[in-house]
Amino acid sequence: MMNIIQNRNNNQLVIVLEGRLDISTAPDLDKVVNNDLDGVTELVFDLEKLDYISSVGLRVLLFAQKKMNRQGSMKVINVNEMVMDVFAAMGFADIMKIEQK
Amino acid sequence: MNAADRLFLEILFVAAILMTILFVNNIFLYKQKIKDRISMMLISGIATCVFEILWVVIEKHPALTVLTYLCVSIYCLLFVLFAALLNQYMLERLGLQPSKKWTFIGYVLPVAMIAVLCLTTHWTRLLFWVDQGGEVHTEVFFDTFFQGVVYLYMFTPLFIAIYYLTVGKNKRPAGVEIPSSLFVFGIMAPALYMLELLLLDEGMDAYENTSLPISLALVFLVTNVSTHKALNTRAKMEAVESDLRIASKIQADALPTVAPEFPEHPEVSLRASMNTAKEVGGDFYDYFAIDDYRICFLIADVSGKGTPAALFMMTAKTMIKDYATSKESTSEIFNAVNLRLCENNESGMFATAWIGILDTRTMMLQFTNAGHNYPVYMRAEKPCEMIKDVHGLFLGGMDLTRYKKAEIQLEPGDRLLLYTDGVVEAHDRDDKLYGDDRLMVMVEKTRDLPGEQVLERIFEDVSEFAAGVPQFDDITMVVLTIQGQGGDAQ
Repeated sequence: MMNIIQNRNNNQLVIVLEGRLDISTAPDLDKVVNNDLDGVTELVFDLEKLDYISSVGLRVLLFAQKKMNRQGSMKVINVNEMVMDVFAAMGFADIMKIEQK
Repeated sequence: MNAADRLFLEILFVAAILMTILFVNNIFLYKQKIKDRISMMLISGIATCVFEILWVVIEKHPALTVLTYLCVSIYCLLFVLFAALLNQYMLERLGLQPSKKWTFIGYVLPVAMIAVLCLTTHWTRLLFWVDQGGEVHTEVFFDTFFQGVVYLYMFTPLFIAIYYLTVGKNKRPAGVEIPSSLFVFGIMAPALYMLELLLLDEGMDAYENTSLPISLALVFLVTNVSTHKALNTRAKMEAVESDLRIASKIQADALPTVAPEFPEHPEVSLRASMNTAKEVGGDFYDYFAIDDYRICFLIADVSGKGTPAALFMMTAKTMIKDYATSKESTSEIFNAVNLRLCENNESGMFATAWIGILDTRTMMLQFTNAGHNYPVYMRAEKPCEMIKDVHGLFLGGMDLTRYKKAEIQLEPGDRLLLYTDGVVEAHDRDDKLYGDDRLMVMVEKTRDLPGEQVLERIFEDVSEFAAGVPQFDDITMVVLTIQGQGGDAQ
């Protein structure tokens, strides 16, 4: 289960993810990334309440990063230790702005 | 009710039951939807039988005249509907799709006219009428227009098929086979009709509108079509399965199976093992000599499973080997491979990978980790540890990734274990993970065993841990051992 909460403020979009981002929930986020980023120049993922992320989830984040590279900036905030380990292990630290909790 | 009526009713029941069985089979056995054309056709056929039964039952009851009118009218409309669906179905099998104009002329207009005739027949007596005794009398329009439409619907596909097979050979749409079931249906329906008339020993006028011959012929048609479909599906599945087997074989053949012989470097031992979860997986490993001094070895895990993963794996593996001979360092190899994998990577596939090049002159190991699991590093006389270096994002992720590299000095007695997710993310029954720690304990335990036995023992331990849980991911491992002085480890 995962909740996706979107807070749009002009050109800024904050996406709060709660729960697990895995093979069953990643398609939902994929839809958001595909459809709801028009006109967004500042994208923020708040992962404070994200318990788990799998490689499929990482793929969606990577896709969002690629999209934002073209139209603005993106950062990931409130990353907990477990998720941070995954980010570090997969080499995400080099390509994304990541702020730990 | 006389004997003839009773026999007639029995025939109708049999017809209705036959079609019901076909309908149930179509829904439950062949997993078709109610909206499927065969299902719709059968429903209308069953309903036709039901109203025909009602007709026979309430006929000759003067009090039920209105009901009789209603019943016969509904029967007429259902019968036309049934015949129209049958017609459309068979035309479809012949590869024909009537245009809007023809749908109107061929289906809407005749059905509307029959509806109008039904509604007004009480006054016009064109189609049929019910006398004071409650008996139904069919009229000239019933025999010509109504039955004409019904039989035209039923037999036009047959005539078209004959046309296609004879004079219109060149006009047949490409790829359309004339179903033999069509001909059997076309011959069976009238033949059964004649047989029925003969058996009932009645005049041609008595029961000319029974649904039984059509139902029986339909049984043949539908069964034939369904069986044909099922056989087709099975043939297709067999083809896919055989493709998968071949893909699996190609993939397995792409991985080095024999232990590598580096005769110039007896002190270096490399062993690998792979246990795939599905027929085709995304893990791979490789090892080969780059030149007289350097040995390259690697392991990788492609995201996803099945044939797409296998295709991506083959591409990645080939590229890595290509660049390994032309580039100077592990980081440059991955820079080049990653760039190529990112080109037109619309499917968004990627691979985590770990590559090492060992210079046997100095025993210096250079390596690059592209988002892959941390290798277990075991040194002589020291506890195991993990090399937690990551030098960039997984391959195929971001085209601008510049990979870094690291070096470690290996000594005799050192050992390095590379592995994929399948090992540390194996689950037990309680959903607990096998984990890094348990893996390190196993490497420690097998310290004095030769490489191939280390791999066997770890795989056994993982299998034991995950007993009763189907293997979810490929389990792949590569182990590098630098033989101690005098080669005591092997």
